[in-house]
Formats: sequence, structure tokens, C-alpha cells
Amino acid sequence: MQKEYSLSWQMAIIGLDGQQSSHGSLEKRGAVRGIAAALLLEKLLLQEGNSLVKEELERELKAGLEKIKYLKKRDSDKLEKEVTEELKREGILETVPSLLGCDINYETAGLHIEEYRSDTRAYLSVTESIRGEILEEGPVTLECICLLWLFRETGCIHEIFSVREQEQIQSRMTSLALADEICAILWRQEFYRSSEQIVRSFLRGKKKLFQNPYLEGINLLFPFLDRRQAIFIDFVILGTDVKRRREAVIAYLTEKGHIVETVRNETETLLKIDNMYYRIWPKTLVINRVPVQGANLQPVYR
Amino acid sequence: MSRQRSMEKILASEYVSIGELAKLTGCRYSTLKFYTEEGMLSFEQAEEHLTRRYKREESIKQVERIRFLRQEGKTVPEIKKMIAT
Repeated sequence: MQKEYSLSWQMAIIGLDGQQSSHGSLEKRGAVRGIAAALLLEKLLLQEGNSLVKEELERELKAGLEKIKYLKKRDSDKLEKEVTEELKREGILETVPSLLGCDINYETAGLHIEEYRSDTRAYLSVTESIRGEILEEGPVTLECICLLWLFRETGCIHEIFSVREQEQIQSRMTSLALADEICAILWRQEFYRSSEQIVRSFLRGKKKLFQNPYLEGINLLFPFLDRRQAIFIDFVILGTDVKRRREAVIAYLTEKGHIVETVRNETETLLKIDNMYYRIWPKTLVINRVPVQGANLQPVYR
Repeated sequence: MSRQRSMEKILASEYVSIGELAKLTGCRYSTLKFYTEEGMLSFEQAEEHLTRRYKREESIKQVERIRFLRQEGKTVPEIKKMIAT
């Protein structure tokens, strides 16, 4: 039977997936703040028998989110540890070698980086049920609104919804906020830091600007700004076709502990690595005047 | 605002929404939508702008059948023909 997950667990399953477990990052801190905000919502909004009046709810929510916004590193690390340990015990989350560690620069430097990987079924259960609810006509539940708001605040929304879908959600949320006061209160709240807002605005702009999938190469220039990175894997296979080269990359990544499968997307073949999709193409890098054959992996968004 | 149904309630009800069906089958929302639009998955809708409702047991079996046929190497038009007969 499919398990049920609390709001904070759902936030953790999506927010922590693909985040480095061994190092801190802007995006991971954002995801942990999202988990803290989800715990606050569970207490204020979703608990059975909780009947806060709207003014009281808004006041408590604001006060709680202000604390979350400036969550100290020590508290953030503690919360991350608590949640990840719970999820690991349930078999929903695991720690695997990071995909970034397979990049030629990291590999040759001997750097060992680890990242979180959410269970695929759990990941899909969260993303597909929320997509099925908000993109379909009909009533929207409070849990769905809460999760959407959390994804908006933590920068996860562009991993789950395409640009067109995000616009659809925006107009749907506006009409829901007009009809429901709780939804309006929630939608007005923010908990990300202003310093991160610049990065987020840039990402939003980038996403809109580079809707053409072949122009997502900007990730190569600013890999630190995104939740996912483009990587280059070197290999020595001469005189082979595209399929054999792809198979070599799959074998290499599988050996490194990743779950890889090929997915047909109209005329091209994408790679699904753990829970994310990547475009792959052969490339030759010149390092110290020596040509290095390999393949480039580029994140693909919806 | 309405609340999400617990898994216990979903499993006890005759009809489910597409989001709940995605949760029950582990199938993507877009895939279920595609199957619906192709007429491979039947639904009920009281009025045009109301939620599509799927018969829980029947739909789960149908999704599993389609999945099995896809794994067997059948194409979507072939599956559609098989379902229609």
C-alpha cells in the first residue's frame, strides 16, 4: 500500500533530493527552512481541531516564519539531521555519491561528495498527486495549497512544473486567494532571505529566457546557482556509435551507485538519473592541449 | 477549504481523482491524462467544469493492464485496439 507522508516529509522528499549531504549550500538551507515552515503549518493549519481565527493565524504564521527566515546554521543542521534520519529509517531517503563527483574535474581531484536521493516511488507520489490536483479542474485541498506555497518559497516549483504550468498555477492561485481567506494569508507570506531573492529572480529570468531546451547551457556557466549541475564524463571509446557511448556513460554512473534509465522524448533519448532528467551528447574537451573524449550531461526541466 | 483524503478513505471509496489515482498506481499524472484523452481510461464527470472521477478498482486494474502490455512491447494504438475489443 502506498504510504502517507506528512507535509514536512513531503517537503523533505522533494527539497532534499539531489542536495549535497556532506556540504552546506544555499539551496539546501532553503529546503531545510521549507521543512521548518512545513512543521509550522502542520501545527497551525493542519492539526485536527485547530480553530485559530484568521487574524490570529496570520499573526502566528508571520512570527513563526520570521524565526524560520533567520534560522541559525546550528539549528538548521540539527533539523536536517533529525528529518533525514527519520526518512532514512523509513527507507524513503538515502545517501549516495553525488553526480557532481562523476564530473572529470571532481573525479580527477579525488573529491568525494555525497548527496541525498529520495525513493523514486515516494518522489513520484508527491509530485504527481500535487500535479493531478492543481492542474485539473475541481476543488483544491488545503494540503495542496500548503505544498505549492512551500515549493514556491524553496525554489522547487520549477522542477515540478513547466513554465506554462507555472503560469496556469499562478492564475489559479490568484482566484483561489480571492475566494478563500486562508489561502490568501498563506500566499502573502514569504520566508526566503532577500540575499537569496536575487539568485531566485535570476533563476526565474533564466528559466523564462531559456525555454528552448537547447539553450539550457547557461547552467555550465553558473552551476552553483541551480539545484542541479551539468557534468562532463570522460571515457575512451573510439569509433563507436552514439548508443554505445550512451551505454558507457550508463555503465559508469551505475557503477557509481546511481539509478539510470533511458527515456525516449519524441526524437531524442534522455537519461533519467535518480529522480532527474538529463540530456546527453558526446563532447571533446581540450585539457592542457590534450583532447579528452567524453559525454556532457545537461539537466532538463519540464 | 477542503482537506486531503487519507489513504484509508481513498481505499474505501468507490471513486478517486486523477491525483489520487497517480498516488495509488505510481503512474505519472501526465500519463494518466494521456490515457484518459486517448480513451484508454474511462471516467465520470458530473458537469463540464467538475473533477473527473475514476472508478478506483476498475481504473487501477486498467492502468496495470496497460503497463503490462507496454512492457510486453505493445504500442499505444495496439493497446487501444485491444481495449476496444
